[in-house]
Amino acid sequence: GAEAMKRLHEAKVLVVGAGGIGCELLKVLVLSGFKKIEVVDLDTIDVSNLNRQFLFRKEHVKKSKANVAAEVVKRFNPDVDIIAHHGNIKEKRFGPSYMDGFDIIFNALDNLEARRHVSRICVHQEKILIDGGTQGYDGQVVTIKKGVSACYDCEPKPAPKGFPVCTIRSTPDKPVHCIVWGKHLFNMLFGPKDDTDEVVQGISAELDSHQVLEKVFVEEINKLIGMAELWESRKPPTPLTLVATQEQANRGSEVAETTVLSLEETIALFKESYVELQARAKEEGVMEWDKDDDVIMNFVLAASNLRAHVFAIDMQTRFRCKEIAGNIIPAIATTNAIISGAMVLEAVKVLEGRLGDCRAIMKNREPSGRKRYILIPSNLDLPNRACTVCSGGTVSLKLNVEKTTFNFFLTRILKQELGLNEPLVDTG
Amino acid sequence: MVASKANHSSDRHVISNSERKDRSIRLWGERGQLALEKGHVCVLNATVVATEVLKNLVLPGVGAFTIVDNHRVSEIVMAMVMVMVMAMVMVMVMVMVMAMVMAMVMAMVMVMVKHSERDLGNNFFVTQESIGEPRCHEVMKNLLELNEEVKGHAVNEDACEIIMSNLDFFNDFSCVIVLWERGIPLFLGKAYGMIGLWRNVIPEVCIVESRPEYAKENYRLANPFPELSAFVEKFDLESCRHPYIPLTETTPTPFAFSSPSPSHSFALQALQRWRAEHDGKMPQTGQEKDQFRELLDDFQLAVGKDEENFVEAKALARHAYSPFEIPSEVKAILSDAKAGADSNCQDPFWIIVRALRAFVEGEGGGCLPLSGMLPDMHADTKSYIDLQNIYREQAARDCSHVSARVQQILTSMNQRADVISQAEISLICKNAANIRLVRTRSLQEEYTSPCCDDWGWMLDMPEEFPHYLYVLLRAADRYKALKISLNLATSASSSGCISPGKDPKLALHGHALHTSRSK
Repeated sequence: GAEAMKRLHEAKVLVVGAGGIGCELLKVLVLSGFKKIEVVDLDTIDVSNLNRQFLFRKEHVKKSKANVAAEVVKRFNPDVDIIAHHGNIKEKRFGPSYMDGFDIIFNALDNLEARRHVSRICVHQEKILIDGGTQGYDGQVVTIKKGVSACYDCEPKPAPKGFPVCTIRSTPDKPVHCIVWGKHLFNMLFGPKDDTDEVVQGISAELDSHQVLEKVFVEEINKLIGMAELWESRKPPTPLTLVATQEQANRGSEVAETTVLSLEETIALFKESYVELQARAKEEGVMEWDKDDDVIMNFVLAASNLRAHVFAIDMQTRFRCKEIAGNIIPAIATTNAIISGAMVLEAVKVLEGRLGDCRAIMKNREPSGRKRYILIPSNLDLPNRACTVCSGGTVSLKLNVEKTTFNFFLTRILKQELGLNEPLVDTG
Repeated sequence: MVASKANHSSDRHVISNSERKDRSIRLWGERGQLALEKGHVCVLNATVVATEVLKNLVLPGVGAFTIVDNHRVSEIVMAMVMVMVMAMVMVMVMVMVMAMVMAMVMAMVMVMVKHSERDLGNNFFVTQESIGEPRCHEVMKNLLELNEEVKGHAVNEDACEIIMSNLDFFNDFSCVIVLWERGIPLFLGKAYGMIGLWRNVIPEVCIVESRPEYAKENYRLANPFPELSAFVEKFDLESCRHPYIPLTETTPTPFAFSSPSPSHSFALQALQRWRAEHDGKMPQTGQEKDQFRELLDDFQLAVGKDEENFVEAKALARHAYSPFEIPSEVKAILSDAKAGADSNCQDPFWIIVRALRAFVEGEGGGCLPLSGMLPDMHADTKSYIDLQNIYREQAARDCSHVSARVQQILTSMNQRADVISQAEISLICKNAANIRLVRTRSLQEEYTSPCCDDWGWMLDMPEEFPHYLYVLLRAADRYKALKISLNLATSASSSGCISPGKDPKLALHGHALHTSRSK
């Protein structure tokens, strides 16, 4: 009705994330009559986004997602008042007082951490948060309001599964182990300093490529073979036979995506990418792992495949290696579109004052059996009374005061386990 | 200090095609992407639903599209969120079907039933400057911006006039029949507020790579082939000796299966022992199956370790004692008339299916060809690779049997042997357990011979069942058709095509809103 329409026009909304869901969400919001929109995203546009994030074009690659999205939407409908922020939602400027200025906040994010952060601020400010998420064909929408429905922390989220350290360092038996190891090797040589990346001792980016190969795939492997107890029930690795070929690095040629490189090619690729990264490190200092950076990806591909070869594990194609290393779950534009549509429908209910009618909406891949429909509404979960975030609970911890360092308490427990951003520690 | 993604390698800004398509290929594979790029979609009426569909086809790179529409972009009218959302849900369904269907389809036609004249504010692909311009051109221009590889055509003519000899859309199926007879799939979509209808009219689509969420796999554990049996026998369960690792002094006790032997070897050996103790029968009753699992437990106890390969072996138990059943969908395809021995269907898919059927009845001994895939498992590398090779080799043998059958069929049809490539055959063999066939009723059938005479029960169904909406939509269609024929009778100046009658539309909106609220 006209009344509801007026509320839509006047509502001030915040869209967190201008990626797959964000693009579609902005479209639906604008077409539905929302006029005051702000959008935040820290990311820049990548070529691989173009197959689904329809607000972006080829010429926008490397530009801020938030800025471009706002600009394009505005071109379609100049009446909309849309403000873009290129930045991380966790920055101070987007803190509680900023969020307080909005009627509804939409989460269109792809990571747990940021969603949790927004959820906490919304709970604290008693703001209404509509959180949408997709993964391939599946998707869901939930509305979070303190005291009415469960917040993001009410249900503990399973921590992402890792691999045992010794499997990665000494006894890999699957391609993924080698790839994880390859990423560690990259971080150790070129990334920010972190002890957990220490997969090989005594190497640094000071060495030349041949020395690194020698250390990592011959000496280190020989050391491992020496540890007899590891190989009682396993087949020991075979050190790499390094032929001292000074192959001309064939720059510029693209690495084949879908064929497995030969051993020689892999060694050449390792050297080539190592030298290139070495040069870059001198110029720029510390680099960060990024699957879309071709050189870094080539380095990890070569390193992990050489390790796979040493341990008689199947070598992988670049395509597959990137998928595993980057943890890529291909997103589907259509799922994003549906989820954004559902998010806006929930927003309309909220603005009409029908919060009680809001539902948690799940989207299925294939309707079958009990999941008869593609979209399934269900009642929102009630807040968990024990939730430390929205029900004001406290956490009791038992720590061994002899052994626990303050740093461990701060980084591992407060920041990692409890997800606190900037904890305040007091004694008493 | 963190380095930015600087432009280091010389060719970083050249956008490689594969990079743009990277995610799509991960989604539906290279062949799926290729099929999409060869596809040509024709859209009749450039409605909101149509543009949404096209957007999601253009982004991943459909080969070409043609828009047929003779309207001009109309005034700003406030959008209805309901229409948008409905359009979205419809799009999803359509695109999903297309992605599935893409496996083989080259061309398809969509008909969007026009229901609203309001474009701006509703249709994201028209801007303020476009008001008054031909809609098909404007929509095409904006869509093409999304992906320069896609070709677009706009036909500024009335879709109805092009394809129909008279205006009674739902009474005259001439166009639809033509499509049906040529095997071109048709997707019909319409949206009214919160409700909508989507219908695919597909004479026949064969899907080889169905990419199911859970692929059906068969390891022939219940009826192992000789090479598999020979492999399994190398693992001696009694003395718990691993064939590849010699006993040494450093390992005084038989360390048994602490070295992970492939789970296949236990599951099979356990089965053989069970059958030896039970007159060669398979575990059949629930009790027997439990006993079989206990047997696996005993093996594990003997070793005294909680090893993951045992867990895997127990998960395999089901595969071991129940002989692989050909999935019902595949059975239906194999027993289709087109797969019969006397069929003379020339389609490569069906020729291969006939060969497949002959294989199942012959060399396969009731089994489909193996895919040759072995999942990851806890095992020492050598055993795993050996086992993998055993499966691969058997799969290759199966496939060559099927190829031979294909050649026989081709010869009997006086066809050249190379009309079907080896790649096509092995693709189908690899996916044999997951091939699918989609056939729908034709629209003619739907309208002339309904499934039941009395539709009253559909209206009486509880609200969570959408049947009543179907009845309402059909009623609305009939009302429209009636109104048009009345209009035609009274005034010759009718602008043509179908203009929605006000009353039923409002009634439908009312009902839809009512239902959405009460849910």
